[in-house]
Amino acid sequence: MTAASSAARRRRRAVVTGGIAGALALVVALTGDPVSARRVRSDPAAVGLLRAAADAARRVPYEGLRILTTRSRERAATSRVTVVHRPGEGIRYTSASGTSGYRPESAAGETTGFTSETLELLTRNYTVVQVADAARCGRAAHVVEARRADGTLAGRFWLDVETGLMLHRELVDASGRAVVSTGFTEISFTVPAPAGDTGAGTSGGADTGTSGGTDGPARPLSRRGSSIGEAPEQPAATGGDGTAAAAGEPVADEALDDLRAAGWPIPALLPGGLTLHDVRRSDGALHLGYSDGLAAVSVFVQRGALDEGRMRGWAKSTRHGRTVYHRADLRRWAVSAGDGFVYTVLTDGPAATAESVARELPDGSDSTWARVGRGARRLADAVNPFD
Amino acid sequence: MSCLGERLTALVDGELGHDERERAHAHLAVCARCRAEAATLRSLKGRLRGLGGAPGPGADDLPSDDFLTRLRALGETAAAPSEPADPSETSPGTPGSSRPSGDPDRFAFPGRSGEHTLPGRSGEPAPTRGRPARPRRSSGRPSRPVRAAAFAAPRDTRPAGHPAALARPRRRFLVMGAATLVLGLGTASYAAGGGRPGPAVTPEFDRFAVEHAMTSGDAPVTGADPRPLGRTGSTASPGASPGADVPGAPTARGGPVASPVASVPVPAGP
Repeated sequence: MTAASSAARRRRRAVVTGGIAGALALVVALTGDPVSARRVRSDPAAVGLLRAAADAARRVPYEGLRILTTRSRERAATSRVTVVHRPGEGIRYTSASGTSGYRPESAAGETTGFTSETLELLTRNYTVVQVADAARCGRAAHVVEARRADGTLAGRFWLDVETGLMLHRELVDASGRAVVSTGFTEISFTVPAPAGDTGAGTSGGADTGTSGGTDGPARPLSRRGSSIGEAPEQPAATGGDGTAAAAGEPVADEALDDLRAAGWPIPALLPGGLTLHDVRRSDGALHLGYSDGLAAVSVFVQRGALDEGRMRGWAKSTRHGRTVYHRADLRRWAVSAGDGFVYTVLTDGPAATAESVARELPDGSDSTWARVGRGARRLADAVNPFD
Repeated sequence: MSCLGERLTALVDGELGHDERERAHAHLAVCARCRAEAATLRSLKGRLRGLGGAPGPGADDLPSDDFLTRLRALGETAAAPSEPADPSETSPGTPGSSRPSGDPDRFAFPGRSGEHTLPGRSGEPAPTRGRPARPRRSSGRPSRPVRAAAFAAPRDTRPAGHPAALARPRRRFLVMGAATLVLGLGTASYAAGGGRPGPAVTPEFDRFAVEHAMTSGDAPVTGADPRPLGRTGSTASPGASPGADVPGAPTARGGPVASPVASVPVPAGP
């Protein structure tokens, strides 16, 4: 009798204990952030280096030659610009061909390619570790690597030991090839000449070498990457306004909801783990910034129909009834249209990314209902006196 | 007809003189057939008067006279061929009466619709308030043309509001109208939705390249703009080359800067 009751009690206790343990495990599994678990593998010091680089980019005055090289299987394209940064004045860029650009001081920190949001995405999607130091531009540099879940290299960053400035960064595709490589090839931390004298033909003695170096190799290089140089083919490669930096007006989250309600297609996620992290609005176009932490993809959305007559010189591919125009210049472009919107996808990464993104964007399948709905909307807009 | 003939209806209508009436009553007392007919006429008259609802004072007798006259005519023409009488009594404006009687309902719709919707519907016989639907439905009967002619006769001027009579066509109008509306709007929407939406757009690739470079951390210059070098260094007007004017007027960190392209402030980065 007692033996039986004690056995029953023991069994009950075991059940209760097991239940509590199971419930606890469930709670942990549900509330625990799997991302944070992965983030633990990232080296905080390495992430700190990346974060500090943004600060250094604002703080450190410098002058140098900066390149952006994109490579695909068939081709490589490089653009090079001279760059001058004076803290408080922003960054001035001058390309080999004489065009200039300007980045306001407020955005100087983004020259690392990272904002706090994209850094978050980087640590979420990749493992960030610091590896052995190396030399870059003749300077000692910390090297930080971003690795995929399978351990392969996805990105590499060189950060100046002395100043913390990011000297160079590389994006590496799955086959181990550097697809995007950007950074300084020459850099000098001497305080540049006074403001207002920073044209292509700079006067400072220190600049002369840089300028000469720019003009010499830049011509053949820019011809090699002639895709961007073919001004007649590039429909909008003119205009003085294009030379200066412009990032549209940021759109707040509430305004984003309004835009979505108004029919603007703003997907929060794109194929390939690309996450929307930045929305800007400028001049009738919506600039959606997507990133997986490393590769930046910009999607520009405009209302209207694509003027296909102006897309000469673009490769055209149609799949599943969706036409995508694409071309690989220095950057990869893809243009698609649908549902009353024109999408321009732009990325430094692989061309396939741009095309797949352009293909995935909503095209407002032209079913009868969609068409009737669109027409009704249009009619309502036409007769709405409060518009 | 009965033995009394016309006098029976005159008796029912109270139109006989004293002697005549006495004689008629005497006859009715012995003739069951005439009595039955008189009763029928009276009940018919009563029913018709009842159907008339509550007509205005003074107008009470008018419809009954009118209608009983027509009833009498009906009795007379019942034996005679009815069709020849039709056109003569029909008002020329009603095509419904001269239509073939084969499929009355189908043809009735457009013709009657005119009668019902036009303001001149007072021409319709008012005494049959609530009832015209019945003769219409039974218009296949031989007496139909005569009745139709009677209805078409614009003698009565009383207002004719017949919810029951109009219900069917009116409902049909509603259905037809709704269907037309839906179909029309749908077609219009389909047509409006078909065209290429919005204006033709050519993406401003140059500007986009710059904006992309701004957010991706690269140099916001367009790759190979073939503009002369001289222009870059010149201090152009703020609007034309905002990049050039900014070093002269350094902005506070994080402060807005006139954006060269969109003329909107470029706020501080995140």
